[in-house]
Amino acid sequence: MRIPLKVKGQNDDIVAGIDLGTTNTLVAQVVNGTPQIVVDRQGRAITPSVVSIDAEHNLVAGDEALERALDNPTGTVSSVKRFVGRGLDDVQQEIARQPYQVVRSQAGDLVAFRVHGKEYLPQEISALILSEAKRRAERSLNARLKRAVITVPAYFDDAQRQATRDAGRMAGIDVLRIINEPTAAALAYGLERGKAGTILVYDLGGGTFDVSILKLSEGVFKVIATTGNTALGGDDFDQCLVDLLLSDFDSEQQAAIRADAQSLQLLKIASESAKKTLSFQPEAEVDLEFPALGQSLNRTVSRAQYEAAIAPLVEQTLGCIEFVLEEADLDPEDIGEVVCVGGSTRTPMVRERLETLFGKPPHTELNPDEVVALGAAVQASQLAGTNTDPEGAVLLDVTPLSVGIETYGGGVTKLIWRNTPIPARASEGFTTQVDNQTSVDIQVLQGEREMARDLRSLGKFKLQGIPAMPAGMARLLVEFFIDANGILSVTARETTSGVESGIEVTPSYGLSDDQVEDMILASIEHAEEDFTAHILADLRAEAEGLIRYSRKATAERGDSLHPALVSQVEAAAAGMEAALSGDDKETIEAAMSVLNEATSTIAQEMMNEVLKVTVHGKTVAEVMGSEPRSKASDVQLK
Amino acid sequence: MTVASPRTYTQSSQSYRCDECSNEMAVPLFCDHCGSDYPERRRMSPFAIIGLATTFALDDAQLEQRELLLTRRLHPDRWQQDDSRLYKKALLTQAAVNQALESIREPIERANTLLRLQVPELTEELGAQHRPDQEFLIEQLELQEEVRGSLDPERRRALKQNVRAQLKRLHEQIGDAFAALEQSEAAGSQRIAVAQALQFLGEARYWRNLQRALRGEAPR
Repeated sequence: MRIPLKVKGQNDDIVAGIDLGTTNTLVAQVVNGTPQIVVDRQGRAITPSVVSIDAEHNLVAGDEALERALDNPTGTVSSVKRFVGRGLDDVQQEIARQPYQVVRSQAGDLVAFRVHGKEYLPQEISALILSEAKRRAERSLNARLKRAVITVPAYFDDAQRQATRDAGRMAGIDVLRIINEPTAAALAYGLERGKAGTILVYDLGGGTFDVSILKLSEGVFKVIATTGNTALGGDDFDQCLVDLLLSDFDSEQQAAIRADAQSLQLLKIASESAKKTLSFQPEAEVDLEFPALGQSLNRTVSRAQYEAAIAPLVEQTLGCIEFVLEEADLDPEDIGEVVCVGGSTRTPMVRERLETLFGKPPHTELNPDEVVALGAAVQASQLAGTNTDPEGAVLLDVTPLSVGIETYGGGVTKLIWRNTPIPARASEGFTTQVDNQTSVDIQVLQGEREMARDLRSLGKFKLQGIPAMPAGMARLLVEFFIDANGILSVTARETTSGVESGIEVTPSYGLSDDQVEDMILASIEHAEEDFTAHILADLRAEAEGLIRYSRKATAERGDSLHPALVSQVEAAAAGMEAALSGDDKETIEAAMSVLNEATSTIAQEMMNEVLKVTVHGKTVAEVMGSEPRSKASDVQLK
Repeated sequence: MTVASPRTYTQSSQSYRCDECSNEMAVPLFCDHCGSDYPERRRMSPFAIIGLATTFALDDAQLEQRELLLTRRLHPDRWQQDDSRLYKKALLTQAAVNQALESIREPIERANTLLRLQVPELTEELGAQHRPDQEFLIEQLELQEEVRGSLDPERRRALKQNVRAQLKRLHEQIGDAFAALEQSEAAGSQRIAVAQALQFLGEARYWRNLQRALRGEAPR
């Protein structure tokens, strides 16, 4: 019998699924075929999606940033997901809700955050959050996170997907795929293993609500319809409770509490905790002091009161369900499975209403906060080939918005319609408007309306070098291509008289490869050094332990060991010491495996003795049930 | 003008073997076993690309099954591991298959595709002459206007049901016209069948746009 000894620090790279959320970010990976959330060394699963920037432009992300939020409100960027890939006009409502400054970026139409006089793009902020989540996962698993699938809401458009992908690249992650959150949720439940069916995913997060219908058949997942409300979520439920609690005061007192930031903060915290209590208790006690105002609040909120307050919000989500069912041409009875995503789906009323509507309880077996990351991990392991399950689902995604180009007179010709399966390719012929026109402007548009002015411009480019000819004679072929990530590229060429010229654009909301290169976080390079240093430190501690253990073992039982073995172990230990005088990880690892090999015979003999001793005193069953471990050495016996 | 032989309408799908590895291919464009591609076949009809009989009377279930099978076999993810050139080929193949599917998935698109494929001159000639019925047009305009306004839920439901029923009827009528087209030997009867198909197709387009309007989508 040979006891295989595993050397720590030799794990394979992590292939992760990352749920880059509005409020929180989670990382998951597939271990032995099962997706698991990665917790950091402190046991924390969640990295808050928050970045704090101080006056010296030092950046921190995650829990540390959250801790600084109260002291540094204007330098704390949260909810970055609401801004990523958006233009200033798209986010007017959001701006009002945030304490930090949002401006038009110098890099183009993108929004940027202006913090202490410096501009930050949303992608950069997202990248910091991703790299914090990545760093935590790497520290905890002692392996590099190089490749990942990142999730986005199904309604995310081209620019938002591009920006998310860019954020991943800036964080030093090879983004295998951008997938839709509802699809990930369905994957986490392993619903692809069912034969066929229609799945509704109800995702009520902290600040956003989405509902999507997926169709599953023959192992292919297809999002057939999706809708949502980007300004509806658990935070609004909290607000209902705040209002409910405030109703105990007269209007003057109410105004005073609302005007006092600290009192309002206390009230919000109390509301959130009462909300959580009401998810599993019929009533919640609220006991609050407002020292600044000399007021106190003591009352009991019943679940019935709370539900009456949030009923209009829940009704709104049901309205979205009705809309999405209509769009998919389905009735509630056609839905086979309902999947709950997002912490707010813990609210009993939400679950009850879903059960009433669909006549079956929704899936709530998995933690609704974790389900998206888990599903992303499933897809990541499949794409990375680490899980070659032939039964594994393939995803058939659709494009969430129509794309086209502006035509003469402010109209639009759509080339690819919304809900078209991707990858998708379409081309359309156009011609020139005036005689001897040698160039045309091509404006790429996105959206469902009929006039160019109502649509979102994704970018503009000029096709030049058209041979001079009468109007209407030129043949311009514009081709759109949407790849498997939902990212669009556009080419145009002029095809008369064999003359062809072409140009490829990436919509202006995205960044060019060079820009992304430039923004790749400086910390990534350091992260590499940090990581190596960290691995090396662990390895050293382990190697030193191994030397001590080997010498102790040979000293203690030298008599019973073959002299050749003793000298072999001593030689290996000396080699180990020599390796430790340098900093080379590979050399240290190689020396460790030599020493491990040399001591394995001793380990085996010790083990046999342990067994002999134990068998004398105990029953066989007890022996089988207890796994002997050589604790002194920290060498794991597999 | 030549009269298409009835055989071309009912010919069933042909299966293709790869010249390089002689395995049976999912689609004629690309070998999903060895990655060889056949770019010259991209001009084949959508029916031939998908591997279904060239007919209006496609079974929805059969079409869907074919779509899913092809998606599974051609999914670009299967190649990502190998090399980027193959991945790109697979991606373009899947895009071409998706494009072909879009042109035959819905009855209206399928009918258009078939007419352009089988009787292009006649379709152009009769299409140019075709004028929708005045009364029908006025009815449609009024309905469009109603949908754009605020509808009460009851009326909305009734309208939706009516649209569905009308589309079902028209799909059947288009189907009948195509059946007649397939059986027509003489140029005269072929002409009548195409004119009928165009007539129903024109009406179906209006109803389809009304359906889109009811769902808050833009007309096409």
